Amino acid sequence: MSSAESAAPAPLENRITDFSSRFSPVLVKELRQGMRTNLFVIAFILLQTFMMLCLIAGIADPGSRDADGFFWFFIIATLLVVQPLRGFAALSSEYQMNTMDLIQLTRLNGWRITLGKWTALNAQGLLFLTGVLPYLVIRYYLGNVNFVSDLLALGAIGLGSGLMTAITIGSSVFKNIVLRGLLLATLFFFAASISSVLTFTVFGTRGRGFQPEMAALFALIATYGIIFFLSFGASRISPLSENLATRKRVIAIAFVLIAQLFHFAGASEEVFVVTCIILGLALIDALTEPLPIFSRVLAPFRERPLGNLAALFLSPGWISGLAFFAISAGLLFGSLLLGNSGVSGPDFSNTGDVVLFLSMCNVILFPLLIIHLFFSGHGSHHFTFGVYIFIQGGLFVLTLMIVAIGNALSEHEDLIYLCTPLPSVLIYAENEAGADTLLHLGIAIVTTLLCVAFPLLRQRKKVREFYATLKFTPLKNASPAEGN
Amino acid sequence: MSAPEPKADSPAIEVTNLWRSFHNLHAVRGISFTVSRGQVVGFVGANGAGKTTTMRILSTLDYPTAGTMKVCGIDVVDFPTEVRSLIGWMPDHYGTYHHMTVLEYLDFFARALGYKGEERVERIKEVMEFTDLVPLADRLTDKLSKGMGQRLCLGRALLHDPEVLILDEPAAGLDPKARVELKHLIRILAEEGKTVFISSHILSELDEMCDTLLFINQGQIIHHGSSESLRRGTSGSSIFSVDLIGSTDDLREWADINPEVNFLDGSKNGGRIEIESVDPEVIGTTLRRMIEAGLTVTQFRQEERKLEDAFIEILGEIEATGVPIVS
Repeated sequence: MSSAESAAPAPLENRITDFSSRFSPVLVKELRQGMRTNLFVIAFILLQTFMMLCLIAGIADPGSRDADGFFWFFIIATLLVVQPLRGFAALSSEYQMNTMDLIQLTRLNGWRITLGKWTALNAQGLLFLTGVLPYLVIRYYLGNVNFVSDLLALGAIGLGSGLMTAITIGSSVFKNIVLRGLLLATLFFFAASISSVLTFTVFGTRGRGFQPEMAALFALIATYGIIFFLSFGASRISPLSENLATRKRVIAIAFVLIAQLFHFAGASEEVFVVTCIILGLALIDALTEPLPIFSRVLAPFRERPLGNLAALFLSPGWISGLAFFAISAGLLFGSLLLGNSGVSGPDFSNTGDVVLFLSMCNVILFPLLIIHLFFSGHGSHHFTFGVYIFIQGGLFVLTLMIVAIGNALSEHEDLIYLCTPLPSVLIYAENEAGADTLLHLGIAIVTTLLCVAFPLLRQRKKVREFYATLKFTPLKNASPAEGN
Repeated sequence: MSAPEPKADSPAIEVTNLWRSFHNLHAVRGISFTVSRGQVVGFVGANGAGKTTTMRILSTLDYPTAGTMKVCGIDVVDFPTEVRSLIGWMPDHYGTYHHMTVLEYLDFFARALGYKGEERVERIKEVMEFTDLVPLADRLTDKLSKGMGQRLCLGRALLHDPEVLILDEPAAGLDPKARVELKHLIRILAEEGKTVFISSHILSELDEMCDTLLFINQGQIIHHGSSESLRRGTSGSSIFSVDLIGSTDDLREWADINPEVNFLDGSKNGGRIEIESVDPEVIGTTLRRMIEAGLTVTQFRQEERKLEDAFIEILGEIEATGVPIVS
């Protein structure tokens, strides 16, 4: 064979059959691209180098806590920070490179795109994990190591890495780098806080030893988080005529119901937190969804028994999001009642607890009132979600300020809280100030009614159009609506 | 809602009273038109006229505020998935990826379009050969020239063998050689029976390729017809360049005594006249009378109006009358 022949490139077919057709196209693309980036190679080499250094330090000083600490630090930094951050521009880069439109014209839907990107990043994360396993085994032979707990910790980090990656991919849908960065920082903070609390609970730092039911609950909330954030990104890159809302809401309800099983394991406090997180995320998403009044979206509901009823709270858009809010409030109420059996908890015969419950729900609902009061003309779902987060952040800061003023002027504390009847202020007032509970109840009920009724009245034309499309009643001068 | 099949007897593109508004800005204002199957239609208009908005709705990437748009009888809003299998979309700014070769790029889109195994490989090979991308197979997509990139973009749009091709400014920024190559490819596609809906603001470019032209201005269709009908315009007259043995004055004097003929300007051996008719019979009779009057005509040539001039004339007429002209 001549040198020219040996240098000839392989036939085309050999160069594109390196991955089976069964793999997701996005996964194949991301792996091909990802493995060529310098960041992956550098991170892998650095992790291996640090692992070796930790091992050498461990051999030199057996039982050293420092070497152990560094060992876990590098694993955590790589898998929970470096690896997920590679997804920071996963979706926004598709917009920047003008490729999102091209992908949308294929058979890939939003979910397959985000899932493919997540799987590709985690496949690379798995390579990191696999690269670390030999060091775990060697550490075991060096002694002073509980191999099973190390493996469990590694599994928890892997799951955490999956969650963090899903968060970065979901957030990467926003083209504005500042909004994306802020959102990511906030979500990372919350995820890290909740994960660390749950991890400490799982590994029994409360003196109860390893808690398998807590591990399962941790896995449950992490799995929901992964599905939620991937769906969040997917629904925001998908065309409005693609209905992802129903699946998102049904999944949230299913996860809440599964979480309730942990009441029987005596983890009522944790179940309440997990239920709040799941419903909170699902509701924020539902209430900031655009309103696609397309026959294509609503027709499948019409064709099924009880479909019209299901559409009222499962179809896409904030109108059904309000009905979903009612269902969620009911689920949270049920969860509290279930957790209450035989344990001290909220007592709904007590007006104060009803105020707290309503105000908690109103915290989620209140920004919707402000959005429809001031920003009802803006249809973009990116915009609505951004505004929601901005309002929620603003309300948080405002609450802190009002509480600080209330504390400073303690004589007029009740008056100050009543003059600023924000749901978050009401929670504080009910808990701390102990003012007139009946008045608080009145404020909470009025706030709830206002938050539900005002957007519906303000957007009554859209509401009429929604119901008419649902019932297939042609409207006079009906037009395909812009998302709102 | 069951997925519809494309209807054989329906037009390739059917647009009815289409509106697209962004808050108070109306990008498209109630346009209606039809494109028959197998036609190559040029979609012409200035920047911001509403071309890309219309094409994006047609490609299921945007939504109309009102009105309907159908591709092969299928509504683009109600059945976007079905419409996507019928169209090939080539945007004005094609997208590339870092760290990805031409071959991998086409492979990704072929996979995403649902092609598997041997069929996928064959389809990619066919497209690469058609667009002459085989020598570029291992080139990184973000390192291609504009012309190569457009060929890659066209190749991607052809992967699923769509019935309707929607090309948004495909020749913008191309050098003359790449333009000729692209035109050649489009001509072949037209011969294969594909419907091609192609936008540009360079009229001469479209003139050679298109069966009909669709002019859009400020979101409204102002002309729909062949380039010939556009050149003829609405004035109903024809302009001729006449060379003769004799002086220009002879031609002027003859024109003065013929009411249907206007003398426009003179030249060294004759001049330009306007005959107030587009009917070939009237034009022939006028020429005969000119010869019978004793003028020794050596050349009698009809001057074609430039499409750009015709377009400007239409815009002027619209400005004067306020009424769109749709022929």
